[in-house]
Amino acid sequence: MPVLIRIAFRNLLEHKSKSLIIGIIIALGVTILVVGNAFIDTAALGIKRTFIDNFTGNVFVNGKADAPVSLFGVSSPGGMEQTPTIPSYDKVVAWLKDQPEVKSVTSQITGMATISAPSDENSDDAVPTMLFGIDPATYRPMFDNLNFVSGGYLTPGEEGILLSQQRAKEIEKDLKTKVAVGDTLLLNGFGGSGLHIRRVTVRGIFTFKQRNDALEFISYADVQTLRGLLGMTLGSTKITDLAKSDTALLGEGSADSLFGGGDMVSVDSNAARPVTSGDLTSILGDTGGNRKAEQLDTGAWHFILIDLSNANEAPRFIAKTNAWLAGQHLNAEAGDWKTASGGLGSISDIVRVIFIAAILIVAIVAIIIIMNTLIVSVIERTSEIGTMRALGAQKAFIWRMFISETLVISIVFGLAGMALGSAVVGVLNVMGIHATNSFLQILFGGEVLRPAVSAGSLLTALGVVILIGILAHLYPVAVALKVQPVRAIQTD
Amino acid sequence: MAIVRLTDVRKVYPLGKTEVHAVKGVTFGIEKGDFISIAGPSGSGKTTILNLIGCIDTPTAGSVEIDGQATSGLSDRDITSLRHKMLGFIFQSFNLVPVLNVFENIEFPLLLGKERSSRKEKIDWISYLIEEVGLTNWTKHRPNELSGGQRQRVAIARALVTKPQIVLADEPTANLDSATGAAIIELMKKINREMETTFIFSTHDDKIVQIADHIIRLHDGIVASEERREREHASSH
Repeated sequence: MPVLIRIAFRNLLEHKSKSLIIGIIIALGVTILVVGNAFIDTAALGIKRTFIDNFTGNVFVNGKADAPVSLFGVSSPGGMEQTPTIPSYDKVVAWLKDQPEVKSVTSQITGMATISAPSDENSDDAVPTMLFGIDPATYRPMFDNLNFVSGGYLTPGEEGILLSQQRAKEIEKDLKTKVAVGDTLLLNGFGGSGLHIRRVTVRGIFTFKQRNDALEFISYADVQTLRGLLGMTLGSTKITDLAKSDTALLGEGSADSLFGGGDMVSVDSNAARPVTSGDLTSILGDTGGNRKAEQLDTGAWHFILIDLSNANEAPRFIAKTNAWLAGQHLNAEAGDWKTASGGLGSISDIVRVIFIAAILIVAIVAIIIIMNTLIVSVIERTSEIGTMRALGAQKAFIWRMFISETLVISIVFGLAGMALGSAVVGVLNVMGIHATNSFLQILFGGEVLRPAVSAGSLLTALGVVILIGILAHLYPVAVALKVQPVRAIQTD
Repeated sequence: MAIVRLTDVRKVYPLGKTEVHAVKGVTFGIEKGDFISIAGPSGSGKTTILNLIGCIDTPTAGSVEIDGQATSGLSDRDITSLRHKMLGFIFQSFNLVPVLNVFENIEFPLLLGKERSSRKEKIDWISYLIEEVGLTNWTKHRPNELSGGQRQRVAIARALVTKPQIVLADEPTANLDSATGAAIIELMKKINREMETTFIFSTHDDKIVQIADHIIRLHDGIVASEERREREHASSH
């Protein structure tokens, strides 16, 4: 092998212009790969940290729905599917808290509402907001993500709303009402049982510590207020699977067969005494169902958010939780932060796919250019190859000679590209890339991206460049291996 | 037993829609230690005969035997091994590896084989060959820094480094001036005497032909005449 490496180095130096053409393509490709990967890796990490630290935790448990469920609700076509609550919530939370991997647990409900001013009750003007209904006692220690411009956090049991500064400005702009802490606002929410209106007091106006314009439409409310807005009452409609015997009753006979029996209570309309509420009560019997319809379901939560002691345990813990939920026949599931973040957490993945597609195109072009250059090199060296074959070189030796040249040029210029790419990333890290719009803020996981090179991305770049080199050399080497020893004499 | 035997060898090359009959039924044998010249004018089939003996081309018909082994039917791997073990080549255009220096060019065939000798043995043997061809002061030079005669001396040393039984030289003096050409042939003759290596060289220069002790004259692809002279002997290395 040393002699092959020696020959490879000297051949590359002997054919400087060709080596430089190939080398520059390789070095530039690696530079782009290193910078691009550093950018995407850092962005992905930023998005991940933003969501895990501020909104989702490591693991997210939700009630199952027909469409994907995220922290922002159900992504159903038309967006009309209600976010399901977690069945047997107390049991699930108790089990989660009992697991050694779990560091902390909080719960949340989510809903859309519009904000209007109480003085303007009949106006159509309203500002939309996404409301996160939380329990401050458990939520605040887990997600210390707010900076208060005025006011402060909700205290446990306190009713009210925390408005993002952006929402407050929207209210001021659209409703011509300046919002301050202590003001009362009207929230209009639409849940399973229709439209609900609640008066809430503004307890605080905040900005997110990790600023992100795209998430500023979120406001926080105490969970009971939001339950009221969403109609999450004890008697609210729940989809129940009926047994066959139950559905048989509905499918057979007429209404008369159900209501026409002798047990029918009748009221004598000619009675001298007017009907009193006592009469109705005696007729209707227990009205507990009515009261339930108005009583908020304090055990109804959409999501459970879990922080683990070791974030790397998340995939294993999710699998374990899902196995337990299935074993308990609970219609709920656990997912990671990316599931919880909806499409937002996948933005870096989408960008990565686009980047990989672009790199693939560049790689194909590079392979074609390198291949052409190598074929010219093989043709020029036909006599040399023929001579080597005549002197007793097996085809394997010729193959090794060319692969050595490929590896030498790939590694030398690949390392140069890695150094250049690292330098570019270093400069970008110091300067910082500022997000100029909300899309970039999501992509960067904040206002400024400071890309950093990881050992993994450097090794990936080197692996890719070696792969490109090997792919590019396959055809030229096939041509070289066809050179017969007799060409040693025929050429020149 | 002849170290090389050609029996009714024919070689036809396609040339567009026609065929060129380069060799038309040649039969002869070469004894071990011969210093043999294959002579003839251009197009007589000299190079084709050397290519067939050197196993770098295959006959259209007939058989070529090297040291009693028929070369037809051998796989590419086996024929390459046979070339490496049995044959050395000296080319008209020297065909040195341009990126290797004199020492490395001579060493090169040793790197292709499976035989393993000690580094010192190798260096001693290559140094001996370099001394034999008179290039002691040029070991670190690349081919492009050498004259034509020096390059051909490197090629001779390279052809001998694997201690082959047969060295084939296709017009080894064609690219050299007459004095240098004569010196090269004298060097080959000296090595032939000292090492008893069989040298087979082609030439159309009659002065050089006369140095050979076995002359085969070709004309239009057939053996026109064959002449044997008494060998000169010398002590081997």
